[in-house]
This record gives sequence, structure tokens and C-alpha cells, in this order.
Amino acid sequence: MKGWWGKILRINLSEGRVKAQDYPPEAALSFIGGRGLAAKILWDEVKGVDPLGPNNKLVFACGPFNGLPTPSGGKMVVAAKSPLTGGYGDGNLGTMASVHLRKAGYDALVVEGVARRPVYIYVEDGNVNILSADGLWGKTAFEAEKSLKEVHGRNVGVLSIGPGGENLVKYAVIVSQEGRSGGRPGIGAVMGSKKLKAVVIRGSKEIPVADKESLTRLNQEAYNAVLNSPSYSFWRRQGTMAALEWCNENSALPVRNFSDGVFEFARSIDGYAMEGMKISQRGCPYCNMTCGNVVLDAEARESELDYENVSLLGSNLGLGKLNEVSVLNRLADELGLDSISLGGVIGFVMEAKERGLIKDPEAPEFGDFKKARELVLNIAYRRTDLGRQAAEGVKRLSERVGGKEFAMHVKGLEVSGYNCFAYPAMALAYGTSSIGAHHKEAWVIAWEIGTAPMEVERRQAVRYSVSYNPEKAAKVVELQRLRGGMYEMLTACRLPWVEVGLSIEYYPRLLEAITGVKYSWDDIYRAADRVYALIRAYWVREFNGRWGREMDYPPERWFTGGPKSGPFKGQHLDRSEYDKLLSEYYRLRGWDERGIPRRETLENLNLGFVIPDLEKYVELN
Amino acid sequence: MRIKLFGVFAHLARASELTVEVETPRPIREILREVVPRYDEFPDKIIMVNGKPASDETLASNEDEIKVLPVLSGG
Ligand code: SF4
Repeated sequence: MKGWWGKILRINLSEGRVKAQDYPPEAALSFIGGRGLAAKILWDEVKGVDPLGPNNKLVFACGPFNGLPTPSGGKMVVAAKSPLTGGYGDGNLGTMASVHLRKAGYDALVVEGVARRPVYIYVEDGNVNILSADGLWGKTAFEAEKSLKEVHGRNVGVLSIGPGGENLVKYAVIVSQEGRSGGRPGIGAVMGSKKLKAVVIRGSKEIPVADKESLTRLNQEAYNAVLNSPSYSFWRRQGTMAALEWCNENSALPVRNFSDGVFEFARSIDGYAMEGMKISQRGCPYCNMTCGNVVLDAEARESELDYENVSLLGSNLGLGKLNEVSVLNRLADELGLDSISLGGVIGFVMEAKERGLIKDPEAPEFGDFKKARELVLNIAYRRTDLGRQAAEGVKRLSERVGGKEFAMHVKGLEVSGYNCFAYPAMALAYGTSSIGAHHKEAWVIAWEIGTAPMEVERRQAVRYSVSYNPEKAAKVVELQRLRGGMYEMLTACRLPWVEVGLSIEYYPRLLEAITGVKYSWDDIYRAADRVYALIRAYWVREFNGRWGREMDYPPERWFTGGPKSGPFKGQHLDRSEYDKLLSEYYRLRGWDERGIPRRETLENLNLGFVIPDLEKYVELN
Repeated sequence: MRIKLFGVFAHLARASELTVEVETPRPIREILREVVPRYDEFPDKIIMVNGKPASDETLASNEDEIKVLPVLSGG
């Protein structure tokens, strides 16, 4: 095979065993890599286990793009059964560890078992060591990476966890290069449960490529196309931070635990405010778009901002000072907490306090930076009652203190930065994402706003209303195939395509140059559909068949009340209309009315192997 | 007419708000081509006329307020 090594590095920490395992070429062809490979491994090997127990497996999965010159192709998928949701969990991050893992001769690394004492893994091509991390345990992710680079040199890729992962915070992430992080549904906690502080990789092999010349040429072309894009220079100014003004303008900003979509202090935390504070820019390997904007925070430390962090830790908490928001963001990165879920949890605490459900004096109110800061630390170190409860995530916290009607999550994963009172397609994207309420798979809101039905009589008084139309479900599926499917399997960053308009036709061509295999769009869509159906089957099995369409509902709040201000004031989603969209989504996917893939669908996608197992839990249609 | 530009459109036009006078109603696209360099290279954009979604083929006259937003990806 070209482009794939066909090898997975397996490390069992309980037994100290290391093995390089071959996997069949058919698996590479039909699951491509990244998320596809991870989902296949979890389906085959991680069944009915405690997510924080020794039998969960931590998967670091690359795809054919990684380690090679490809447009923004320095990403990696980290996956495991999620301790936050109990279902399939993954995330991606840009890291040199992706480049090095592939150059070391592997497509994926799977960590099994639990070490007795804290350890880290050092991989140098075929030489794998499990070393003591006694001296690293307790350090922040930044400090750990720094120490490890002092020992192993700078030419390595490092993935580590902070105290959040060590203390099994349910939304702890894996961190790399001070500010890249991934694995929202608690993949960092899975790493912590294995007593694995870090993975350090150095690879020096040449990855076999089918057509090196074409690869170099296509990559150079794509690279230049990005540089010449009319969006490029503004992207370099603000990166994803431009979305703050945009969301505020469209009533889609999360404000005070998603109770509103417009923030009165938006100007002071938006992309323009950030530009005034910016001191440098960071990015992922092989990327010329470097979207990590670094500012100095209120404590004179560097903090890397993007839209999601600033909206969830800023407007969602009622905080209007960007330098303070930057402190919370930097703490989240250092401590290895997912900044989106962290903002969701603190926002929930603030609203629960306002409503008298939480009486604890240490609980912050909206706009209280000091107490919010303290709570971040208490969560990461699981100190104090409130800190321990908040470390469990919004779903569990709301089951304990009440307030399910304003608990902003889907399947247990906190909602990221888009408030969807008026946006049913985006709500559907959240509802049906493979990991819970994350936007990465189908960011459909811009399309939804841009194509809202036009009214003929323009001079009438403006009436804002929520619109439903079956095309919305089709658009969600289309975007999931590309964003949640293709990009997550390759694995590459989607931003060159979505943000600066790089032609999507480059991707199958690059894939062919690397692997020698010609994938038509149909093949890519089928691979993506296969992965979605497999992940859905995984959820159903891990929930012992207790599954229904309500699992794909967005948070209750979006069906009631509506935002408190702005043009959409008081408007909200309609449950029966949402249900119709959801049914249309299922129909397009070949899933039944419960949201379970039909037998025929599984067979058509060559997923016949899941049927016997799945049938132990549910009857298939 | 008043034109409010957002994100990359404001960047390219070097202005976030403009007033343009037209004698007869004109398609928004024609006006935007004049104020936003490289406008035609953007396949997608969100255009609002008086707060309502529209397309850039819509005719606009002096009393209209036009908003032009880019299509972002949301990270
Ligand atoms: S665009 Fe941003 S997130 Fe994507 S690869 Fe580049 S730096 Fe990383």
C-alpha cells in the first residue's frame, strides 16, 4: 500500500507490552483513516466498558494526509469511549505529533490498560519506551511539554494532559503546542485514567507515496491558492474571531448561558478588540493560515484566542473584558480543560445561582470574573463541592441541582458557540453530530441565514421568523459528509476550504497522489456515511439499545422562551417542525424513526459485520 | 442607500459603513463591485436588505439599508 503504512502501534500500559500490528488494506480503503479508523477500532474492541476503566482504549489516529506536505494537513484525531457522554467520543488537534507518528511508521497509536504509576510514552521510530512521569504529574500541559522538550529535544511531537485530565474532569482534553487541544468529550480524562501524562514521538522515516511529483505540485498550487484568496488577509487579521461580530449581528451568540443571542459588550470582546491586543500568531503544522491569535491576558501571560473560547468564556458568562476572558482561556489550555464545555458549565452555574438552585457563596454570578477564575481552578483540581460537581459537566450537574430546562448540551456534550433559537438547521447539526453538541461537522448556520426565504414586499415592516424546509436536513447531511467525514478521515483542517475558499476538488486529487487510489466523490461520501452509521451503531450498542429520537434533540431551552433581546426576541424552535426535519434527516441517512441505521443501510455500506452484535440490543428495521 | 459591510468585506472596502447615491434602483451586485475590491471572487455572501435576506441581484434604491456579511465557517 502507498500512503498508508497499514500499521498500528499498540501499547498496553498494564502489562508494559508494545506491539506493531498490521491492519488489513480493506480497512484502510474503506475507513481511510483518522476518525474512520478510530471508529472501527472502538467498535471492534471497546464494548460495554467503563470509560475511565482499564478496558477503554485511547486511540490517536492519523490519515493519509498526515506527515506529508498537504494543505493544513497537520491534524490528528484522538478518540475513546467518552466518560462525558458514554458514547463515541473524539476530537482533532493540530500537532507535530501527527507528523512524527506517521514518520515513525504508524497510522495510529492505541493505548490500552492502566499504568501503575504515572508514565509517559516515548516513541522513536520502532523504539518504544514507557518512562516514568512521576516528575511531570501535577504539572500543567504547557510545563510538561516544555520539560519533555528539554529532555528529548525540540524536534519531537508532544501530546500531554494537564491537571484536568489527571483529575478525570469529564471534559478534559489533550493538549499540544500551548493552545492546540482536542478531544472535547473527555478524551483527556481517559488519558489521565491510564496514568499517561504524555506521548512524545520522533519519526524519521519516509512515508511511501504513490505519486510524489503530483503531490508536491498539488500542494504548492493549493498553498498558493490560499495565499491569493481574497479572504486571506482578513483571515490573518482575525481568524475565527471574526465570527463574534457575525454571530452577534445574527442573534446567534451564546450570551449568559444561551439566554440571549446579542451581547451588549460584544464590541469589547470581538475580533477588532483582539487585534488591538495581539502579540503573535500560532498555527498547526503545514498550515499557512495560522489562526491561533495570541494576546497578553490580564495577568500578562500569553493566551491563544479563537471564537469558540471567547464566546463561551466571554459573552456566555456575561464577561465583557477580553483580557479577563483571555485569562480563563489560558487557564483552560494550561489545565487541559475543554474551553467550550468549561464555559458551558460555568454559564450553567451562573444561571443556577441566579435562579436560587445553587446557593453556594463561591458560585459566581454572571459577570463575576474573580469567582469564575476560582471555579476554573476548583474544577481542574476537583476541589470544593461545587468544583467537583462542575467537573462532571452540565448534564450531570443539572440532574443533581435541577435546571434541566436550561442545561445546554446534547447527549451530554455542552453546546459550542452558536445559539440556535432561530436556526433549526444548525440545531439539527448539533442534534445529530457524532459526539454531541459540537459544530465542527456541519456548520450550516451561515447557509441557513443566507438562504432564508426572500420576501417579495421588501418595504413591509420587517418580521423575523424561524423557517423550516426539508432542504435544511439535506444540507446538514452534505456538510457532515465533508466536514465530519472527509476532513476527519484524511485528517486535514477544513478551514482552507470553508474560510478562504480553497477548491474542495483538491482533496480527492491529493488523496489519489498519496495513495494511488482514485476516490470519486461518491466513494468519499460512502466512506463518510459508513463512518456515521458505524458511530451511530456504537452509541446504540453502548447504550444497550436504549435509544430513541429524543437523543437527537437539541437542548430544551431552544424550544421555549426565545432570546431576551434583538430582532428574534421571544422566537424559538417548534418541536413538531424540528421533528419533521429530523425525520427527513433519518430518511436521507437510511436510518429508522428511532435514529438507528436500517439493516439494509448497514449492508449497503459494507457494515454487515455490526448487525449480529447490534441485534443483541435492538431489533433492526 | 446605506451599506454596512462586515468582516472581510469591510476589510477590502476599507470601510464598515458607506452611503451611496443612485439615480434609479440598481442591482446590489453592481454597487458592491464598485466598493469592494475582488467582490466577484466571493461565491457566497449574505445580503440583507432592510433586515431581510436578499440576493445581490436585488434592486436597491436610496432609501434602502443593505448589510453584507461573509459566509464564515465557524472554526
Ligand atoms: S487554519 Fe488554524 S486550525 Fe486549521 S490547520 Fe491552520 S492553524 Fe490549525
